[in-house]
Amino acid sequence: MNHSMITAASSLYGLQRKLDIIADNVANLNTTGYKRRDASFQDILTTAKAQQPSMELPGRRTPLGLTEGWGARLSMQWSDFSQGTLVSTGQPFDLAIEGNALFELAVPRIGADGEQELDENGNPVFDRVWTRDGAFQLSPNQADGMIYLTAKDGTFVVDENGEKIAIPPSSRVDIDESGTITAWTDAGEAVTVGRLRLVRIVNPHLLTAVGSQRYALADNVPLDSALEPLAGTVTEGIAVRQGYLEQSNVDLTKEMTDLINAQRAFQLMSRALSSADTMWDLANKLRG
Amino acid sequence: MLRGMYTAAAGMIAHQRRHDLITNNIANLNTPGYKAQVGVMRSFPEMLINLVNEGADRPSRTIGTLNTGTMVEEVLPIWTQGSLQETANASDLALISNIRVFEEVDGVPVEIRFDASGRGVNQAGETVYQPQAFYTVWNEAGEVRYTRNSQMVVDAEGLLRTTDGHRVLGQDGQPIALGRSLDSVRVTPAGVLLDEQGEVLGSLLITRIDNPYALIREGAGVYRLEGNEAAAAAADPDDFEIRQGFVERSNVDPAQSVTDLMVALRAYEANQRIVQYYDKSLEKAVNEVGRV
Repeated sequence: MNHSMITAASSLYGLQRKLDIIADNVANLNTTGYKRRDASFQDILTTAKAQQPSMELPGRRTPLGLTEGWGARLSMQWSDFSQGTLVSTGQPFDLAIEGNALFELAVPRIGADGEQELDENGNPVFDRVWTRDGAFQLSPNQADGMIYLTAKDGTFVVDENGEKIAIPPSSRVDIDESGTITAWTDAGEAVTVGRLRLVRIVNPHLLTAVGSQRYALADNVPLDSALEPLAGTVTEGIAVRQGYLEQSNVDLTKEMTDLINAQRAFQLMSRALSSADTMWDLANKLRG
Repeated sequence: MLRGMYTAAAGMIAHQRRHDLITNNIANLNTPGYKAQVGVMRSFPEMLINLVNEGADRPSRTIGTLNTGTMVEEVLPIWTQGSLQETANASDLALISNIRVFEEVDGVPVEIRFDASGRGVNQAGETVYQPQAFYTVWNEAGEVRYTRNSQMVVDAEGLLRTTDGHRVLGQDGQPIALGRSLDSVRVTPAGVLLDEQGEVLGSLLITRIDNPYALIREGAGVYRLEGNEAAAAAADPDDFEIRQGFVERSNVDPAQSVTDLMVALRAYEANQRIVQYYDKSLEKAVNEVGRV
């Protein structure tokens, strides 16, 4: 009974977390740039009960020893980077990526004291994060009076040199397929501002989700094992579309099927737990 | 004392073990590549029952036999193929194992027919079991293990691993170093890894285990083969098929499992009642016999 209860308890915990992941996916059905998460199960380590050599009788198929399993747990969680559908918004700073790439943003590093960390020259330290959410805007910076390309919360978008992108006063800004930004002045002149930094995803399993549809690399993961910076002009299969936003890639049908699966497994596991409880009750009532 | 009390207690323990087994099966309903387990029950060896003091001139004589209990003798995995689920995920490589065994009879190959549990009889009349194909992996210590887990990932060093964390071996017996995720790799049904240009990146080592019942389950999706190393050899490409984009689900049947769970519980309860009745009988013997 105790063995069954331990098995049931640990498996229920794993199933609960799977339900949480599915709920998270469904909640983000309409979030721009959201990538669905998935998880897989594995069986927990098996113990072996020793058996006497006299148990080795003719007709026995397996080697000596009684193996006992202890349930299942979640082994891995990952984000699924398949393409979401592109929706036209017509806004000049709404960008969507078609293909296997990410935008790069610079997030200021906040120290333990809650203040922005500064390096030895007194300049703020930035961490690199990547995202598919291309809903950008122009934000004026009070410190130097320039206007930068940022995400909706003010996080700077990074160009191919790793610098913030300053947009000069202009009547129109064009961003082409390779991410090159061209600003048109009122006089009709074209000024090339720079190129967005795009990285190709080499191994999506190494990216860690850090919230707000952004992804970072853990400290021990080398950059080139997960991402490859894209240089120069148009790369085959990857394009930046101006005026479009990428919808979440959550497929409601699949999520509902997974939800039903997980719920029924949870139900069966609870059934096994209450059955184990009944057995324990019977043992307790053996006398008195 | 009363022999039956120990028999009933042994019955309770045996059915509790079966309950634990079935609970573990149900817990692994969604574990890819999991093989359901069945407990085989066996009676204790029979005891001879002697009749004593029958009469002054008759010595004690044997009148029959008695079993004194039951136990779970061994735990057998069921090796039927789990159903395939299409995930369209390039990292899911389902291994379909359907190994057919032929024997030569007067120069004509005759196939050995295996039943649903994988057992067959060859021409000599011996019991043989259907071989199974497995992925070959290394655990943390570098020891060879076997698995049917069809979900793969590439780690930070570029090595191909299963989602349980074990390194997958190639035909050369070494872990496969891909350096890129499986999204850009095409896997042929024979287990050859090709990149977008069709260049060969590696080849998966699929092992054929002649007697799958000799494997010991270690948990975390892997099995260990002890002793007889000759029983493991690289599988012939005709014996298996690898399908990219599919996951092999666990072969646990939920309806059967829940029914077996109820049977185990009620058998436990029946044995518990027997213990209670023996207890009442003893109570009578202790308290009421000879009471004045």
